[in-house]
Amino acid sequence: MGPHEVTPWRATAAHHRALVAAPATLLLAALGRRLDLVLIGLPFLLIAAWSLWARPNQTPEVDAHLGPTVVHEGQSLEWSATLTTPPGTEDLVALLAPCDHIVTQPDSGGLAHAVPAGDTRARLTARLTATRWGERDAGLGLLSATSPFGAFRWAPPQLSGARIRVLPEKDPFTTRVGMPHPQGIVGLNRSARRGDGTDFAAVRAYGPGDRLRRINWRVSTRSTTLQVTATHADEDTSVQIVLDAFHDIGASAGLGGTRSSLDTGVRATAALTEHYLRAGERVGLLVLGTARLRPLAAAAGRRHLRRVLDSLAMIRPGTAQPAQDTQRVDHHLAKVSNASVVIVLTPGVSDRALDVALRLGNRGLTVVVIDTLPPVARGVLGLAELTAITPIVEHREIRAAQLAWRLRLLERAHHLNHLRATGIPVIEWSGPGSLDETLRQVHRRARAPRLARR
Amino acid sequence: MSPLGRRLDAVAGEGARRFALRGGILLGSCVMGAAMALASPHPIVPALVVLGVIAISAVLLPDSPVVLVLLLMISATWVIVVPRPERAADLVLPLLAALGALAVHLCAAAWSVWPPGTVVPRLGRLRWWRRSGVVALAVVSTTALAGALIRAAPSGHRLLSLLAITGVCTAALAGYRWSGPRNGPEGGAQ
Repeated sequence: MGPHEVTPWRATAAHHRALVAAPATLLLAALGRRLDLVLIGLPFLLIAAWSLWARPNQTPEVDAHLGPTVVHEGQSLEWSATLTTPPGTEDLVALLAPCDHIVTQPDSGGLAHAVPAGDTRARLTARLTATRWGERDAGLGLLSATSPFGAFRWAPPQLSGARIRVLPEKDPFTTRVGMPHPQGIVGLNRSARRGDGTDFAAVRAYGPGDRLRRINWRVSTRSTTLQVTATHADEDTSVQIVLDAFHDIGASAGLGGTRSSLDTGVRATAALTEHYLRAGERVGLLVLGTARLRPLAAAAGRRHLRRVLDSLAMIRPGTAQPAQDTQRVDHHLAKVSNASVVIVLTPGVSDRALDVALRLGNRGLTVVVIDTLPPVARGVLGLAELTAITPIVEHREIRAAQLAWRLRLLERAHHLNHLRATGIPVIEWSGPGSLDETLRQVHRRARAPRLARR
Repeated sequence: MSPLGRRLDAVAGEGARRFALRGGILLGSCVMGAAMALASPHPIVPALVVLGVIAISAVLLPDSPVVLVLLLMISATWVIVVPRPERAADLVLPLLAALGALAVHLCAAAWSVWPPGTVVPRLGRLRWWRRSGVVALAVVSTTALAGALIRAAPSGHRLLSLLAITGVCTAALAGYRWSGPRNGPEGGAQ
């Protein structure tokens, strides 16, 4: 946002009123030889004259700024407009346009400033708070300056705003259970193979390549040969997160308020990503149903966390073209390692998202489905929830929409039961420990004896 | 909901300060109407009803030409229904009407300066009050001068005398301000 084009000072309705009322009343006074009408017209004469004398003869220059342009949910940003105020500029007013999920202080978005006499610069500031993840155009507004008695007004064209990227805040999440199938280079998960690590595996005879510090002297003194302590290798796992953004079900009131399905999905994804990246795992992200968002291949590190958060902030639910989306998804899923753990976050309403989970499960990957459908959407919906799902034009459509939603829920329950029957656990997102029991079961299943084809 | 109902809802929800400014317009109109009713020797109920309707319209639409129509209508009605003042005491009611007109005009002007929900800075409020006071003082002084002219009964025409004196005072004030210190780098009297 930079300096604006020159806009002249224009007379207001108040000044026109004084300019018309003063001569009209005084003319009546002269024609009717009325001393009393001179008194009635005198205030308008004085105000019109004073306004003309004090009329500003230069146009102000304004520089509006909004920053920072990348914030987390709940964080504040500052809008400011700095003006050069020529003599005669008295009252400054700014009106910021309302923006979804951006709370302006003051609430009305209106700011006023009285320029002290002699000051040549003035600054208007407002604090904006981002309450929901996403990309938003904030800072659009109108500005005006007025001269004494509000007689002349300078109002430049609408101030351009800036695109703000609001990164999702992470839900609290921890897990005490390690990931299954570690198959990387270095990490914190106990691998099935032996190597350099911390977890005890066995005591065996010393062999070529064994390090001297691995010699177990107690066991060696009791036997005739040197014995070493073998350990399990510590390795990392690839975690592939698949987020269903085909639909955003339920109303969203921003951080700390009512959550939509995508709010839960996005914040849970952020929490899972941060947790597993800190634990040394590699995390990949695939968002279904949103346009112009490339899948992120599994990678590690703090920069990757920022990449994931940026991708989450750019989600626009239900904007993907089906053909392109299918091609993009298939291409990415083909590259997912067979040792990956796949976490699918979905409200369970889209067949395509559940189909992805089923396909990955059939490939033999460990798949966990997290149900993100808000509790309020699981029963009989009110008008507000229905409107968030489907546009309601007429009152009689409410019953039909409620019935359709009930049928959709039955269908959803059928699909989720099918997933469970094929061995894919479906769990609720509940923050810390959400995945613990499921991962334990996966570990148990991995250790259990099973038939193998030969 | 009817347009009037929507307008009333908007008025009710716009905040105390803007409500007070609308109240100022109504109060100024009432003062003008009362002064006219008292100054008129005959009952002027029909005129007051018409003016009342216009005044309510002005309260609902302070940034519209209705305010100007109200002021012009009151001035025109004044000429018709109020006799010419013959004594100094007869100028008290015109003074009240002038102050009412001032209130109507300034409240409507201030209403259009600040948008709803804006916290008006103290400096701005004080400046508007001070300026209004200066204009009101000038009107009171002129009334006193007019009263003195009536009482002294000098030779010549009273109206022309008052206009001449007022013109000289205004010119003196203008000259004083014009020759005063210039605020901006480009000059310009303030």
